[in-house]
Amino acid sequence: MSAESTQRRAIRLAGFSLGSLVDWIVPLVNLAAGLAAVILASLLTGNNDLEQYVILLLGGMCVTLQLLFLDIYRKRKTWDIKVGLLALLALGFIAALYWIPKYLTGWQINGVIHQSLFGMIFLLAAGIPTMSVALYDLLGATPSAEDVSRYPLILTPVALALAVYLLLISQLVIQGRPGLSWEIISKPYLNYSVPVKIMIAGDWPKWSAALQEGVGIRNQILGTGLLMLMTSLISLPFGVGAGVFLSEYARGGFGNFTRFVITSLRSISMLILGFTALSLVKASSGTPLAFLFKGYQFDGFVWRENQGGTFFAASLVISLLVIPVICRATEEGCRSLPNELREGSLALGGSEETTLWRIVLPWSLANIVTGVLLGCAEAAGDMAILMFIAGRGDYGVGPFKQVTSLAYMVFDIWFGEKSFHDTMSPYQFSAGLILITMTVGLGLIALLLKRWLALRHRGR
Amino acid sequence: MSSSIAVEQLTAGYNNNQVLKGIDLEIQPGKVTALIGPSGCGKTTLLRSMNRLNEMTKGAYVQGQICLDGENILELDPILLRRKVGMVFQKPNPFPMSIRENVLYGIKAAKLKIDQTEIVKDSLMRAAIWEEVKDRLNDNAFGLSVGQQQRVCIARCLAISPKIILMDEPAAALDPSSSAKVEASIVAMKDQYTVVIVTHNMQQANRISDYTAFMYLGEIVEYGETEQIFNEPKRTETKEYIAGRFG
Repeated sequence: MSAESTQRRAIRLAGFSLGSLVDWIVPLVNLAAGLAAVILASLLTGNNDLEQYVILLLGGMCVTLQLLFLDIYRKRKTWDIKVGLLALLALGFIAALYWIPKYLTGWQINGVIHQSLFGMIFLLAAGIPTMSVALYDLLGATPSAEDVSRYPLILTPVALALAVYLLLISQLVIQGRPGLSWEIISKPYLNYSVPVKIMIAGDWPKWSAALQEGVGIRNQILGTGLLMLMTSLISLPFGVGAGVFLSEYARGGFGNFTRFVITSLRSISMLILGFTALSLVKASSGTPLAFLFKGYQFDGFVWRENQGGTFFAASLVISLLVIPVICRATEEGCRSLPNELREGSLALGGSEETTLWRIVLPWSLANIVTGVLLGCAEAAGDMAILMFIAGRGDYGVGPFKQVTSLAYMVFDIWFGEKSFHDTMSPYQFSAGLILITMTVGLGLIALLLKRWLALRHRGR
Repeated sequence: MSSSIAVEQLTAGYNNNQVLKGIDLEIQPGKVTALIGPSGCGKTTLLRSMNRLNEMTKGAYVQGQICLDGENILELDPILLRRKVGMVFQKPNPFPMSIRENVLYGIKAAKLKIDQTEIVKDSLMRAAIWEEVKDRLNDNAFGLSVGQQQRVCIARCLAISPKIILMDEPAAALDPSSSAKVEASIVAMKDQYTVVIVTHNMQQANRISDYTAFMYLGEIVEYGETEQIFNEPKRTETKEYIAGRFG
């Protein structure tokens, strides 16, 4: 019997085991109270004014739960402790809400948390168990009813996660859509001076400076794309190589040690990695390597070293984060190869290398694609590493030009010059929208690619 | 044309477990030799030591000599050895590639220069599966039935023209009709190839093999022509096993 029909059967049987309407009323009221709590919690995310109803609803739930407590004794002659405790919990939440101040500020940080956040959490913490307990009693308190009554507990976190995701996306779309236009996407932000010859009749030509101005996010978009591409190109050989080594060649202790070291790369604080990038850039200044890491720009007069660092330098450091991801994915893919295929290759006189290139790697391609996709998402959203070395892409986008990206741009709007803030802040949400579109789009492409690869190289 | 294998005082096992206890066996060239015996007697270990596949298991050890046409295979490059000694497994294990690529795998691995279309057709015909797949050589081998997959595995083994073909219960996982086709292709292999086949199916051994070796607890109890083993076995253990008294 499938799980679904068991639940349906429980519901059907429960309807028969509780004969009278009287037995239904109290649990039904509790179910409604719990549902109302969850709905109010989700409404609170958008509207802080509703918080006056939070204490009211919690109080109501406390009362109905106590009624349920008594009702269960009446029906089944047992004291259901869970219900009693829940009633006390609701009471505790009410007390807590009275005690928590309206605004919570952190020490020296101008962050503010509104009281309604706690209201939301308490509503969910009381409401979901109430629904569960009410459903259990409503369905006749049988073991199958217990299974069905767990559904709110399981489904709500999923629904919440989806709701939060949709909330974020909708905010991005609502606030970002107005700023989007072909003008903005196709033009770069420019704010530097170029030398211009001024000719005055009968006089020597004079040099003057003309300001290049422009408003747009083209270079940031291209920059994000280039960052993803370069990070993938750099980390792919190292990641796949390490993964293949760990799965095919490493012996016991040394393999575990290597795996530990590679995984530890991801525990390095992002700020330290930012400093690494900065020191790479600064140390190369004045040396021939400056072309690789610092970059040069022609300002109309001379070739001058950049203030920041190149895409190449940024990609190198971000790769430190991405290589472990690709390594883990490759290793899993290689290990998932059925041993009989390996033996089959050996039995035909295939060397380890033939087996690797013709059997093992094609099998793992789907996993490798996942790893690369995760790496791209990290590179696109990265800000902490770019923080010290990125710029605005005035002089264009290229491997050895100054690094810029959409994520950095948003940071720059708030922590950069005021003029940049004034010009570009209308487009900050648009940047976020484009960024998430790029990431999701890549994800969809990766999904299709993985499906095709699995079909071609795993036969299913 | 075909080759012989001479096993001398072969002892083999895994870690502390000794499986083979001094095997002496001479496999005749161009004939089918069956290895029969109850489970755990060492048939598969003996077979796998002939193409040194047992070395892939951790803790495996081997002592003694196995000579292929006079050369001790334990001193040969195992990869080159496996191009001369092919193997077909109990559970069909085609690669997730097209049927053509499966058959050509060993040839490409050895970098041999032969007419590919010709060898694919020839091997699939010998494995008695050409008619069924000739129109879909580019289809993925995973889409075939189990019986067809096993015959493709036989075809790809034949493609590299090995001197010896080892078969570990090749028809055990197959339905009767595929099993019959596999047996027919084995019989057709005689003279050109030397075949060593491990089987639990005594009737099968009786049908297709020229020589039979009965193994028990890591030793060869009796070895001789199939007719003699099945009709007039000399040892009591052989008699009892053939009569089905233990299995």
